[in-house]
Amino acid sequence: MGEGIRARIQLHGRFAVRVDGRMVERDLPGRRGRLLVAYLAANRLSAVDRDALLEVLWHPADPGRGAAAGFAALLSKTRGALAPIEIRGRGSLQIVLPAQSVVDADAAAAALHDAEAAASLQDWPRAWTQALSTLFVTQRQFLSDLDHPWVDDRRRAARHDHERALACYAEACLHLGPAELPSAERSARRLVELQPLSEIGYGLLMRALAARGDHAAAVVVYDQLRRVLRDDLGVSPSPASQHLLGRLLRRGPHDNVSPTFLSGPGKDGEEPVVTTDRRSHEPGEL
Amino acid sequence: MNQVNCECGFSARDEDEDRLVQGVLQHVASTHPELVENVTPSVVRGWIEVVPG
Repeated sequence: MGEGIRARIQLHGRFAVRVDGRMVERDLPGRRGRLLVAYLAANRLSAVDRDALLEVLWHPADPGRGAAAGFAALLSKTRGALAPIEIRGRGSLQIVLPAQSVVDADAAAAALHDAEAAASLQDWPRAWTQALSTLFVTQRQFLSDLDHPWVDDRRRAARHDHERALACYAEACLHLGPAELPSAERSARRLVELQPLSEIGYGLLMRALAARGDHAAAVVVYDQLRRVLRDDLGVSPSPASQHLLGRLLRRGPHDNVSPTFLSGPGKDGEEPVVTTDRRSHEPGEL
Repeated sequence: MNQVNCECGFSARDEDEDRLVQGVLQHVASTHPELVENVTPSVVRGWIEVVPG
């Protein structure tokens, strides 16, 4: 394959294939041609069995005997449209891209892995960059212009990755200083929308609001969490969330708060939740 | 057409991928200066969305 050729396959959002500046998805043979390229690109690290491809491409129909000839013609036309991108193999097939190529789904997955590794090392600038790289891709629906059960499965996985990236991005923003606090708040709010029964988004949102000096709004968020958990699950917020609220109340609305405020129970060596007025400050009674 | 929509509200479009990458790098340098070392041209290329021209 020629050096210096650039290819880009976009699987999130509108399906697009660009080879050296030329858009080629319109040259692919119909819906099956687009699905063939999308499926191979999404699984490009390994060869895909030809029979498995037939099942996907002919779904919901049974491929039957006639499918073999149809598939041979489809593959031939697809190879012609994609050149110099190659689809190699016969019994199993693999798409092979030039070195300078981008498949957005691959880039997003690799970036998320790196973002979470960076966060665990508290390398917040790297976590910010890589989490954002995932968000830019996963905020677009996987293959928004194709309907197929395989696509539905990938959409569910992508949504999970998107939520992980939002949490990582918000956490990084909280550590990067005042300029990134609005981004921390926006991503935490989005996470709460997407995961109303998870405490992660609420905790990040409370910390973002507190770091911006809005303690009252942070307490309102806790109360929202408490009500949702009570009404939908019949449970109370976890000790970690209660601890977060307790520290928030103890600091008070007029204390200076750093962006890393309340990053975890007891991190600065303080005692767990202690409130001076248990009746008014008990987390469950807000 | 290539497009990048930054989370902070910044948006840029360009037919030329390299020119768009340079524009986004300038945005990062001016608006997110503490992060400029981590945002390479390769990273920005991963941010690009292909949209109808």
